[in-house]
Amino acid sequence: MTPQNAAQTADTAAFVLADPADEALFWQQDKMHFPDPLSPMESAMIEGVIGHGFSHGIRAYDAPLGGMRVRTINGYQYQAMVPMNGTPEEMAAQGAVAEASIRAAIGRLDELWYEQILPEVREHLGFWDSFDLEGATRDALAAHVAETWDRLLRVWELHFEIVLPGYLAISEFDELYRGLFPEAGALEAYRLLEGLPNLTVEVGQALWTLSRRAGGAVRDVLMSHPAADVPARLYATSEGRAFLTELELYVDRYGRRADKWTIVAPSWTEDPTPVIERLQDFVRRPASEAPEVTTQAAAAARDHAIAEARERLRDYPAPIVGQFEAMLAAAQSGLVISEDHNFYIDNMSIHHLRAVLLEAGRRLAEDGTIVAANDVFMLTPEELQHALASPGANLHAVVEERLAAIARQRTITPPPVLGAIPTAPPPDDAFTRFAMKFNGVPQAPENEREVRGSAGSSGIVRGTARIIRSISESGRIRPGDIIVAETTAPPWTPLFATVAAVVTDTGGVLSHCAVVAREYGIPAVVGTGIATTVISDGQTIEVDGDAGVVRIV
Amino acid sequence: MTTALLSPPTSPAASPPILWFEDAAAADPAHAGGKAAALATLACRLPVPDGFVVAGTPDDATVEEAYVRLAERAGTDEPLVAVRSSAADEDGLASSFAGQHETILGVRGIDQVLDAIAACRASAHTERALHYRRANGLARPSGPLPVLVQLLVPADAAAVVFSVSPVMAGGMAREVLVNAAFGLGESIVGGTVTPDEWALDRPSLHITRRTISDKRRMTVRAPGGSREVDVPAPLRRLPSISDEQARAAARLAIDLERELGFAVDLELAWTGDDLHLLQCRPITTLAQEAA
Repeated sequence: MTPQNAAQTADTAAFVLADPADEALFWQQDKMHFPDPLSPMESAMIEGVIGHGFSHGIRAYDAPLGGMRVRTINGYQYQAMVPMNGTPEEMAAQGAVAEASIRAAIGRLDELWYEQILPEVREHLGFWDSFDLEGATRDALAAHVAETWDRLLRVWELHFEIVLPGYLAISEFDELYRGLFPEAGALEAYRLLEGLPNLTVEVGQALWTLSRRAGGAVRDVLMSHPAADVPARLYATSEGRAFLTELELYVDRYGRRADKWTIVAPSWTEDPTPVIERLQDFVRRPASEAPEVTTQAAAAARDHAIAEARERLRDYPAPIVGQFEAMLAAAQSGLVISEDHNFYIDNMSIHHLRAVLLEAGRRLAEDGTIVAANDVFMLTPEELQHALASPGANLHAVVEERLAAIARQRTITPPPVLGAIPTAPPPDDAFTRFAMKFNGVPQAPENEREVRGSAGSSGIVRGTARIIRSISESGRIRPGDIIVAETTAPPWTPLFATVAAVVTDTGGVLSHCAVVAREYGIPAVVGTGIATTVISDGQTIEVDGDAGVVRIV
Repeated sequence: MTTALLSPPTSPAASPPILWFEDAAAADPAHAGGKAAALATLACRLPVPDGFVVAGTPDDATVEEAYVRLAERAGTDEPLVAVRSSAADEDGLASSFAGQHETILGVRGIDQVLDAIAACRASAHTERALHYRRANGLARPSGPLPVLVQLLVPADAAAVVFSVSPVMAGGMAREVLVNAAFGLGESIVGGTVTPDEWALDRPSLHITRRTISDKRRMTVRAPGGSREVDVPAPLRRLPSISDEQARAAARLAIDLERELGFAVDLELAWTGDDLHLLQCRPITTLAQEAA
């Protein structure tokens, strides 16, 4: 156990649901997206914006649910589904309506994303891109902050309008495939969806391409200096400056992303260290290890798997084959969209919120309201709005108190569930099937030398475990290491080209980590619940991605 | 019109050992058996899959010649065929013989065809078939059992249609029943699937009831025959045919009933939108009650 873990204690008693109405609900900590204690501004973003978007999504598709409730308890984020108020018959009828509603959307995924949702998202991103934050007057900035929250509400409504049918398309294709081929393994259906061009893969490939453009002098700098010193060293030579320009272009195009779904970590545009660390790895690698090679192999394997499935269905009734083809096409679209929506919505909207809040923080720091721009994240949106409108307030004590609270919360291990634990088995509907594949189902280990989770991506490999809690720690990763993390987030994915495998505490076969591991062709075991607490940094482990087992060697 | 279904078996005069549907003798149950004669009668104007009857005991070369001709008529090499028994008194008004004699699906190539014909003939003498005959007061089979060799339709969905609902035979015989499922009809006939069911008012053909069931199994063509497989969960509750197809099936049953003069039990299949008539026989339970 790491020293940090040793200090942690499970203190369930301190996790109290303040509202009595909450006690009847089943609360789960969303460790996959928000493993760390939250600042007040992040709590507001999650409860107000993301929770709002999810509730909008389930309403948009008529799901038989009353909504979703989000609470921050001791800094940790919990969410609960509010059951629909109705008789079992009414709920079943609503379930049928929801299924029809989501199937209609699955049938027109590309149109929904490329013609409706993405253009509207781009319009909002354009609004943020074109606003001159530094040049804005105080009043204009205050209005911009308010409008940013309004637009975020809409962007996250769109997020759930696309991810629900997008992921359900993948999940239901998996169901269909395993129904047609009952002997198929857990990951087999996903082979028909791999190697499709998407932005997650493009971010890694474009960085590789950039690494190939590093000439001798640039390679020398990259290979002999710490990442933090690289920009200054490059700036010293003309060849280096030319490369820096290309690096800036890369970061400008792909770098509106930070770490997980947090606003407190810097984007690559602010601090390109994670990008430079990957370049330092990539320049040492032979051309044969290009991510493109992996993608092409995945595409060939995909085409082979599709041809094989078609052959096996040759004499099947046309409605069955037609459904297979339609669901395959939808699942392929869903897979690309499940990646690309992260790029445009999750990463960019959070990047812009951070940028707007930081600018407001700078103004408040100038006023002396807070000490540093970063302190703005310790305020609530209301406190920020008030402070912008009436300079002269002093919120130092408030910020100090909240920073201290977060430091304290970091030492606590939050209980994974709270409230009324359900006794009935989960219903067998498309939404629940998807949720279980996204979140994973905990598995008990068979002995103390192993950890069990969901099969995430095929293959067996051995390597050195690296416990990674944020992308800022990625400098410790050496080629062939295995990431062991609570969760991984889209900005981490270029790392997948460096490591031999990945293991997470959270998520299922449809989690982002598992999807990307399959794209990069590395084994993954996800949703172990305990890997980061049981496995120590530096230990040799063996990851069996098909069985969902990690062995401590 | 005279129909094979109504004509009692007559003593067979000499006829060629291979009968095509368009041959006059094919419409005579005494030569072609009840099942094949019924289809031969209808084949000239309804979409009955092409085929021939092995009526006598031709040598292998003659059967091969017929199979090659069937291939030419179908425009494919070595077509997949269904080989079914067609006893003289089979599918007659008195008894249907449903399931008592062998049916072999997905037969391809002359060797398989010859084997299937032999197997069908052997089935006429199985204990089960003979018991059925005794129980229904039928004579032991005399002479070679006629065998029907017919193109196997690549069925997307199949249906069994009753022009009069057999369960309401007492009086409210105002409904046509259509039972349909995915794939070939064997899973419906064999009772391994709970089919979708349409009840249609007659003569208006207004749909009075539609039950889309949880269809867990289907029969599909497979190399060397057919096999029953699971229907994937997301598809089990999809309708196997459209309301329009159900209505067309019901219309055909009513037309045939009017024409033949007795309530009919049809077996149908669809390839895309193309309807095929695979079997037409009297509803024997009704006929017996009427008698």
